[in-house]
Amino acid sequence: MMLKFINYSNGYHIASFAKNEVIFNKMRTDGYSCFTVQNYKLIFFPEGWAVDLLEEENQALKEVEDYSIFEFNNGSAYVYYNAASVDNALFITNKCNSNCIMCPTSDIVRKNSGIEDINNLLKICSQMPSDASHITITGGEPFLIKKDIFILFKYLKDNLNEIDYLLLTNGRALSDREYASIFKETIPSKLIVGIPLHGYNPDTHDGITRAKGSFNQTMSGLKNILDSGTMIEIRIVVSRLNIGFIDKIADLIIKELKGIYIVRFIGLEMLGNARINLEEVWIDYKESFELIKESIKKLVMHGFNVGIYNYPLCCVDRSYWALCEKSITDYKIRYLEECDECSKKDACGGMFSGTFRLMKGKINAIK
Amino acid sequence: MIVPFNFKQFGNEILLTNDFGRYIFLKKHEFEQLLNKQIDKDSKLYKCLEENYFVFDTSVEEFIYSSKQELRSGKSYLFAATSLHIFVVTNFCNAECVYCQAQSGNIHTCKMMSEEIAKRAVDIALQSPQKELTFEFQGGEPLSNFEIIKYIIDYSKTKKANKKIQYSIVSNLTLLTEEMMMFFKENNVSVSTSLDGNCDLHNINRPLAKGRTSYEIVKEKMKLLNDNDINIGAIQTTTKKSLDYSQQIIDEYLESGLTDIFIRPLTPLGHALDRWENIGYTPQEFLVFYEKCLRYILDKNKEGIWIREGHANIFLSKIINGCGINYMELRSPCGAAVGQMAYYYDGNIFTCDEGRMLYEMGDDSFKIGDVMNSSYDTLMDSKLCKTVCKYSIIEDIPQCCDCVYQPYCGTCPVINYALDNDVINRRRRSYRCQIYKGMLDIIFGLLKEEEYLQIMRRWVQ
Repeated sequence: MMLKFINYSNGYHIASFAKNEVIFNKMRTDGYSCFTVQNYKLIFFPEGWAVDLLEEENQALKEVEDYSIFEFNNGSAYVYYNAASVDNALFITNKCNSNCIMCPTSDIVRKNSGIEDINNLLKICSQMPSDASHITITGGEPFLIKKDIFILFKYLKDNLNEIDYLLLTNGRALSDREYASIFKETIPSKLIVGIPLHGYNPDTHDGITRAKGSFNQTMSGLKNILDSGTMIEIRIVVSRLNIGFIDKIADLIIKELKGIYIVRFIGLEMLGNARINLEEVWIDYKESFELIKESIKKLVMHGFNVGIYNYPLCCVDRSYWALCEKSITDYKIRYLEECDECSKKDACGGMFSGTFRLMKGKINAIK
Repeated sequence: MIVPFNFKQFGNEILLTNDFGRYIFLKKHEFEQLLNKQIDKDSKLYKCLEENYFVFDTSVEEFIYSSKQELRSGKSYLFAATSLHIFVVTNFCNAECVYCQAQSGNIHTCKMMSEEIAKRAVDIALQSPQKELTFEFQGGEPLSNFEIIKYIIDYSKTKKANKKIQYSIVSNLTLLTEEMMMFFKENNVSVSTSLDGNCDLHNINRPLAKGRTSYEIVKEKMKLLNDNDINIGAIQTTTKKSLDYSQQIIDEYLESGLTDIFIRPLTPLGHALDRWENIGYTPQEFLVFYEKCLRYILDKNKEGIWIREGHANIFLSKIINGCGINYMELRSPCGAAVGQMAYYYDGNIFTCDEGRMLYEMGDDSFKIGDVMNSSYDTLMDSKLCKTVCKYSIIEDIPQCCDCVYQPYCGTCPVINYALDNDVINRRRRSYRCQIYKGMLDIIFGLLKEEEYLQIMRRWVQ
């Protein structure tokens, strides 16, 4: 969430928001960088800045909860940590060392991105409530911050160990034994690491990531942490590119990755590269499910936990519904007109704002 | 939509419970309205039913999605591997308790667990994928084989890697020495003993083979343990004699500085069964006693004295918090093998403490393996493990499945088998069933009294 503050001109700054004076005082005693609203002014502690607010800016702030953390830049602020949300992110960078054909982030965004400074990340973490429900640590590729990531992990482990974390990475960095071993020592207890597998061998996987050697690196990264009790989530992004060999990926998992926590099948979000390569990438959720359901069954029969993400219920056989999860972030969820007629709409996770139009005419209301 | 529930007449109301462990009392006309879907959706009653998962207005799938966490926490023990490992380090005992279930045997046999067997037992226990383990030392009187206890603790500490082990010992304390106490203190070993009541009662129930009386000794040693900051707890066993002493028993606990008491009925096995005429009682007699105890305990709490009763506490955790306690015989499936394992001094492994008691009476039906040939995986994979699990899922067992107390209860395949030669209890209203049902009747009755409800809430907070 981005908010405008036209008159703010003090440059990059991190501060927690307090709606009223009681909370503001509490934050001050706790040594937080914080700000509140008094008489149409933003008041910052400890800097003492006072910034004039416009009426609409004041209104927008009324929607924000105490303890939300803002990243200010001149003229605006990004709500980095939203206290009202059950899922927040620690965002490391948009850069990536792979270049997947179906990446929802575009080339330009990835190329122009910087890497978050570890001190900013630590500052944000130091003001994050210890009862936050879920934090996704994500990129781009988070390991591009290099060994600083372990400083972050260690901080979370020492200070915010009760939170559920999901780390999204391509796992290539973990093929380095030193990285893998520091990783195992520093991660917080309830961290799940989500790693995508796009193919079942170097050809099929690297063909999609367009990064030579990535399959071998990801596989050895997985094996390096498999024995440590780390919870691993294998993510299979199902597209036209790999629909032909999903079953072989399932076989690979069954044969080589016993002990992982869950396999998640992930429906496409058609943004960025995915949108540009639409012809090559897009497969609608219904067709896609039909072609993966036997592989899902096979994994379940072999004792694997399986989850299905981003597939509307009407595209999935009823007997698989228990595996479907409401996975799309609230502000991105869209439904089509037909959905209003559906008796299962409340149980369905809906579709991505950038994708749902592609499903026009393909979905049916369940009566 | 109405969610499946169990129910029964409770006084002039109807008690309903569901799989989430939630309960509600309804008047007869409200019950009829519920069944006929006539309750006004804006009414307080409807909101209350909705909050407690008895009705919902969403799609079935959304209801499942939104309630699954609740179901999960009620069955949280299913996400744990075997955590309680019982080491029966000897069958020797220097006491002759009238109700002994552990042996109906000969006190002159004196068999001790060897180092070799202890080592292998620990190796198997550590194969359990569970991170937090409890190692419990039992006997006979385990202190008669203190060397092996020491060995097991020292050895397991060198082998445990990242596991956390809580050690505890179940002892009559008669053999406790200064050296043992220091060792327990150093290694954070908690001690559980038996205290059956006041002096007369305790000595009658728990006579010693010779020398001083067991009451005298247990009181003295408990004080010593207390003075040394060693965590000490006690459990009580009820005999026919105890029935008249409800208040004295609880007063005895309070005087001893204990804030938890576990009022337990006899298990009709071993000596207890042989002597049932002299020491046993009907379930009704026990329940009258239990209610007297519980009311007395609650009244003490009213006066500002903190003391809790163990059975009530286990039930209330599920009734009030929806949180399933990993108490082996009040969970479904029961904890045999998947929750606990008993390693006998001779190297045989049993599904549970009760399983080895049966072995001591000459029946090895619940022997699941032995330390020489088994691994944790083969134990878990065994037919016996599957049998005890399958036949203790009370959601599935005739009679139990329809019982209003099903969400809180459990069954014990070993005792069923010992009494009736069948792992499933097929008798209507067996001894155990009557006792647990009766306890829950008493507890739900007390929950209707606001003042008691507040106290019981505090117990499980």
